[in-house]
Amino acid sequence: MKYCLLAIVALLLLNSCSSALDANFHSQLVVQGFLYANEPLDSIIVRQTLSITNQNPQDRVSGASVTISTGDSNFVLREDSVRGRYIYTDPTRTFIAQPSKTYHLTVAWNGDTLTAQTTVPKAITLDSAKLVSRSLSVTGVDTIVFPDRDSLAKPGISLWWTPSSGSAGYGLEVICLRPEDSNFISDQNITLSLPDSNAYGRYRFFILSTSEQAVWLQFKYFGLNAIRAIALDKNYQDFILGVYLSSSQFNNATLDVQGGLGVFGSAARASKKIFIR
Amino acid sequence: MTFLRLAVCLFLLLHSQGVLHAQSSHSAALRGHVSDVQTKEPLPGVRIEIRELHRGGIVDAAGNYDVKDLPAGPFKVEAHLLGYAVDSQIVTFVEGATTTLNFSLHSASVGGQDIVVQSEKEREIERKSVSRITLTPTTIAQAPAIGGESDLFRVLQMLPGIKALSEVSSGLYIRGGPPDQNLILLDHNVVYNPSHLFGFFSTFNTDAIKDVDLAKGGYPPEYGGRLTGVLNVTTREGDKNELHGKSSIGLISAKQTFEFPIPGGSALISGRRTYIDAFLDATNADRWLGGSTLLPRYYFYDLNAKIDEELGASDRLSFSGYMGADHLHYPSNGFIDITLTWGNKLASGEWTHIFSDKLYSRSFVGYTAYSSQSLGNLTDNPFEFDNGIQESSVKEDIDWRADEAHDIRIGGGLSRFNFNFYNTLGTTNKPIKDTGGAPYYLSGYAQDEWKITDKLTATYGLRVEGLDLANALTYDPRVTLAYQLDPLWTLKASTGIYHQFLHLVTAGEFTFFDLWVPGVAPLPPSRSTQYILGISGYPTENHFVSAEFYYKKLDNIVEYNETKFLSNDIQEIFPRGTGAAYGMELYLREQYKDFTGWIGYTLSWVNETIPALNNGMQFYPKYDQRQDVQLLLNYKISDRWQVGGTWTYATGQAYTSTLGYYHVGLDEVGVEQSLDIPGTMGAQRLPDYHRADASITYSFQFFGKPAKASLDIFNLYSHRNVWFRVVDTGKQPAEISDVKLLPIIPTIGMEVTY
Repeated sequence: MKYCLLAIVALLLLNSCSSALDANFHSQLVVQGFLYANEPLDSIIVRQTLSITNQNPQDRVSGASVTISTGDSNFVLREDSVRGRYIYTDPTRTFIAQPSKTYHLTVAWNGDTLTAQTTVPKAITLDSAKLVSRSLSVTGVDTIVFPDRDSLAKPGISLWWTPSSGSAGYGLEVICLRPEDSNFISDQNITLSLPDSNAYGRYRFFILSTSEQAVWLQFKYFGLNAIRAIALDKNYQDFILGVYLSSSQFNNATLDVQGGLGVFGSAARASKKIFIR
Repeated sequence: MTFLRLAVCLFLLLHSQGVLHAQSSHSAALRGHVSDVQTKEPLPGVRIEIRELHRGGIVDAAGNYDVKDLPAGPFKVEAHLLGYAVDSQIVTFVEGATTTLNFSLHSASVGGQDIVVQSEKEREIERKSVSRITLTPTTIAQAPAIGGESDLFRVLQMLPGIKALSEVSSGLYIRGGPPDQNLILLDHNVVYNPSHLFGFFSTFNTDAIKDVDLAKGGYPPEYGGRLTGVLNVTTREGDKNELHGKSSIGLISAKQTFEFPIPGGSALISGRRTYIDAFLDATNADRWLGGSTLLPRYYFYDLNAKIDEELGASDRLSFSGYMGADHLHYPSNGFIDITLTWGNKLASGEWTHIFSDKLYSRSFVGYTAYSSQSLGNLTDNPFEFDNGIQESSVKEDIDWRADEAHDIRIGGGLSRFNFNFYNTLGTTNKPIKDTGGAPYYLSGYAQDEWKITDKLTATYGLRVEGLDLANALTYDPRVTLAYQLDPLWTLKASTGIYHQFLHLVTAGEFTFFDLWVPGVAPLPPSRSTQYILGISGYPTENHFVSAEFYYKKLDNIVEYNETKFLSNDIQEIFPRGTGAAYGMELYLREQYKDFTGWIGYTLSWVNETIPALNNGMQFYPKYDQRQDVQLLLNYKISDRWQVGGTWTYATGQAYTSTLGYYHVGLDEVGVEQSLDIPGTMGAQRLPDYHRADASITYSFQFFGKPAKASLDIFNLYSHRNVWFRVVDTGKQPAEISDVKLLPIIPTIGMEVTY
């Protein structure tokens, strides 16, 4: 009995030295591109992954073959002057993303091939808009006097829209189209770490319902602003959930791409313009 | 269903054999009650011995005992309980009659100081069950503390098979199971978030604890709803004779306990509160720091209360309550002000009724709630994020001592849950995730502790439970065998099935964000099948040795995929898979005169395979640690001085490395974000962990009252263990750095008993 126990203990101790093998790094293609219903293609960005031991920060891929096809037609993209940015430049026809149509992306470079596909959601239409109890025009530009700070807790602008078939979820974004005197709405002392703020102050807020309120927090500039409701396809939503909203160290924006990483998604969007002064 | 029928038949068959086994020619009987002479509290675990007859019994939880089938005549009856003076009386048993003999035992405490003893109750538990450990408040209080605050969970983490994820986490990782796989009970009521200070302390105020009973696995059918273990904490009864109080003060908290008699019983009330916030206010720390620095305000508190009423010889009522919360407030800086509040509320009542010396019942009604709330303003836009769980339950347990060979217990319960999760921002108010309302949980069990022979005892039974949301009813047969090899050594084996319907979502390092969610159909409940083999014994009167091997097969276990937390598909948020946990635990405990201590060694594995994670390959979760050693020592140098120390060594925790990274733009023209590429999940190991803590206690008289002053040193040699590892991919090459845990922290405390 005693020797039996000793033998078991010895075996377990020996086995305790074992450990799992970690994976090896191998470079992969990374793609990023979005189609918007009834809008021309902006671009497809192609990058590659980098090892943590890499000394060179250049990850943009130049010289890749990038094609988008619909089954009945192919669109071959060419590299822009910006490294790794591929655009459609054929002067004989335009690339307008069609609602409900499925687009296939193929990227080939250095022996690797990446594929992905997206089905563009149907167009989204705004039904109504309100500032508290004041009805706003859906199509026109309303001028709104920005409330004083004591009133910021009051509701902002609410939008309602008809669900878009084929969408997995909805987003709302506020974008300043033309800032007025470059004046910030937000207090200059506030360091606001919003997920997306470019020179024109874009703020995105992703939701699942079909009505949403743009709270005052989301406006960054006085001037002409647009509030956009966006109907997202599943790829776009996965990207949003994985990149914007995840707290995970290892975000997963790679769910819908084969042979690489990244996102090829689509959306439909509708805007309501307001002028804030 | 066939299996259920078989189990019931087996149960009845075994029971009928037991009845036959217990036939005897003697008809005298002995019964009685044993209590503490001072407090009048019942003393469970007292060993009643009639040496001449080699007969005896163990006093039950209500302080009662009975011994059947005795011959007529005069015999000496002894009552033994370590820590108490032995009492003996000579009584004459009469054929066909039951003799009543009560004992009032005197405590064997020395010089007003508690002495560390192991009771017969503990020994009996250790003999008959697997993986069970009992602790007294004295043991907990003697372990080194942090901030003058001794903590139950930190003592439990010094036992083999129990791990802590980090030194800032009081969560119990038992035999490869995360904290939500353990049922935490306070006076039989579930505590859903047993932690304070983001997991740094447990919710259990040691001044209010009577005893602690932990099953690391192989627990009997009377408990259920968790895959791994059960921690049963009992609140102390108050003194039945006179008012007593105890005041303690440490660097971060103060405690006050009162216990006093009430008509027909006793009451106890005990509270604890941290006062860092009060200290900051009193010192006007903000102003000292220049006036522009707004310091966060934090405190936690606990309030325990218990009332015991004896309604005659056969009935006892007990009411228990607990309320505790953490409160953190960040004052407004013009951009955001936020108040976080989270805590538990428990209330329960128990009625114990003794029908006869063979039959008694316990009726329980309870309410328990955990909630966390973030309330604040973000640039004047109010927001609120809440989550919580409430459970209202009724339970009934009936204990029937059918004969000398069988102790049968049956019971059942019904619980109703409410889950709430919602967020508001501005006027938007919508649930984050609809879990389907208020599910009902139903459970029932039957178990028998059958003394098959003088050497062999079997505890076996069946538990049935179900959650209506999950649309599943589960059948869990369990059996534990204990074979007494000789008077000193016991060989034990146990196997059983365990199910779990509720799961804890842990989103982040701190417990504030923890979220309980029910399993809903069509997802089946998680299930574990446990196999335990062990041997334990007392090679000397002062030593206890135990070795246990366990294997736990896990099915339908739930992992949280935080990259999918807003998905509409609950199966994406909580992907499921299989796993296994297995290992070996060695434990040596010594109690000799003024020295007490133990050493534990654990060798263990835990792995999981979740198809949605790690490309479907098996991986080690982060709490997988191959080996660890725990040492706890206490030595009473004199009536005034006592020293204690602990040392922990553990091989590194599993973690997932970063192999590389890539960039994505946040939109067509926006800034880029760097994303990490993970290696194989859990394939890498953090450096080994080790830490020593020490304490020294001085006992003295404070205005004529017994008092203690203590110095506790956390992390004696200031070894900065690694908490987790981060990779900065903003630099080329990427920079890997370790986030370290706490350095040496000396603290002082004082307590006065009156």
